[in-house]
Amino acid sequence: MSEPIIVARELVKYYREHALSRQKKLALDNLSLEIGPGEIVALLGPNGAGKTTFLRILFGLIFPASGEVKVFGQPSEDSSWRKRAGYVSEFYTPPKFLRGLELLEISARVNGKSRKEFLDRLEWLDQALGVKPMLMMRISDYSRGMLQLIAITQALIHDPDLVALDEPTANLDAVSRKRLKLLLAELRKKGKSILLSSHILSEVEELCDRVIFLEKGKLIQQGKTKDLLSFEGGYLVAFKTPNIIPEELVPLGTIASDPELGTTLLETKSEAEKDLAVKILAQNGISIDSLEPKQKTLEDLFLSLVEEKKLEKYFLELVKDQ
Amino acid sequence: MKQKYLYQYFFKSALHSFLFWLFAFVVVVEFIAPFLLNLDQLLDLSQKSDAVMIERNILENLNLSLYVLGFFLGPALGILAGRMLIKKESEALLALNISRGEFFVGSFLFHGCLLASIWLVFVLFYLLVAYIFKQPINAEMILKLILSIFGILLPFLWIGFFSANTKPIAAILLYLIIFLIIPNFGSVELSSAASSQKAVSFFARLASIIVPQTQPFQLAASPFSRLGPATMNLTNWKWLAYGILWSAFLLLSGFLIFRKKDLTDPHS
Repeated sequence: MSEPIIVARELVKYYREHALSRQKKLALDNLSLEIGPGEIVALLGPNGAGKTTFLRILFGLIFPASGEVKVFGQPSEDSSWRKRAGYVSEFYTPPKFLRGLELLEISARVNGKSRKEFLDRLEWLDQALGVKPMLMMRISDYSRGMLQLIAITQALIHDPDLVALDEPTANLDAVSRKRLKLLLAELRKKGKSILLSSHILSEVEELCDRVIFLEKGKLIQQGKTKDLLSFEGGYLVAFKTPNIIPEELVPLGTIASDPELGTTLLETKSEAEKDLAVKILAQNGISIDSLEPKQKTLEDLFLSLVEEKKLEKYFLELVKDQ
Repeated sequence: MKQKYLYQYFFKSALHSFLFWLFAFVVVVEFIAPFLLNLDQLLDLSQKSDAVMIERNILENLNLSLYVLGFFLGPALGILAGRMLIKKESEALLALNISRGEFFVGSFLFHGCLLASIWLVFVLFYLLVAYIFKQPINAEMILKLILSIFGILLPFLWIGFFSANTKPIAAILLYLIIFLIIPNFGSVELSSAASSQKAVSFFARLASIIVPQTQPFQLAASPFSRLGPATMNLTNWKWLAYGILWSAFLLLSGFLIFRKKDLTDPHS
């Protein structure tokens, strides 16, 4: 792999309960991760896992208690690398007194773009997201969905190499969500790196090359999306519903029939069960429509990770009590 | 290039601030209106015997306006400059290719220049009055004119410093304590010394030393109330150094805090 563009090492971050409080809440717990050029990476985790905290540290809005982050080889608190990066904050609050166009022009120009480059890029983004009608409006008059669109446009107006998106589809309607998905696919083709934090796991599954799971500020699992969702041992066997389903099939897995389609689906948990089911079906002269290894979804994975952690915690507490 | 867009942003932000318009309103009421009205009389009476008295009245009026400017408008712009650094809207810019230093300097420079432009009008008006009344303009007067900027700059920087680190109401309270209550410790110090209350005297003296003083730059010490030739003395240079050091300290410490300051926790 070529040189990573984001390198985070042992990041620790605490939040105080309030300004005068001595009690601290751990937001990032020795978090280390790397993101390579051209990668589309999803940051996943339950609320309070540290996803937004990591992105805010990355863009120099807050500082870690210890550890370091380098982006494009520079410390994250240096501002110069940011002309190669764009950020959509989950809590985006732009200056309300500006018009959309003014905000975008300031963003493009401070990032070193000429007026012509700015206008060309705006035209391209308008084709992708349809933002032109709202550019002359004051931001104070924007709806939540419009604010989200202007946030995405602002992050992309200077053609950055790295884009960090924190819940980018929040408040967007179905059309805008679809447009954003196409835009991100386009950026992927152009070799841009994208760091995406989202709760909509189906989108992440579709777009991202790699997934990083965080919980309570810790990295609990990471890997390529296709590896994480790969075959888990179980099979889905679909066959024409016979008059009587052979009894031997019942202990081999979950059986569900669709009377309208006239098919039955058997979900086995192992390869041996699948082999046995195929044998039984053949013996009974039942034809098999399809036979597929069972795929996990990100949601399955996410829930299993969170549940595992909960169970671990539960047993630890049980041991402590004894 | 980058700064141009940053200042454009600060200017638009100021135009949409209530405090900015309060600032503009007080400038008009406190300064421009009375003096524009008096200018005709000034020109007519400059050759007459009671000219000196009128001249002094006008200049005292000018001096009072400078005091008002320092007391109200310096802090108003200080709040604008300080809040600009930490309000949530600024994050949309600070996530761009703009360093904390550029943002800090931009905010204080822009609002400071706004304040200094009003001070400059005072100075020009003073020079005009001196010219009309044929007063010699010597080096000491020029120095005192320069010194008078600290009368508005120190309150501006102090409250700007507090506003960048706390809520505006707390900043205003701290400002009132520093510029209204603590300066009166001087009299506590005297009376305490007389009644042998050494501890009170000591703390009063300490407080009056460590908090910034703006009185030397206003009223009696201001050039506006002391016309006539005078020789330059060490005191004026001492106050110039005092003003510069306090300003540098406030700007530097404000910057060092802001450089490593977490912006508002979005969850709060």
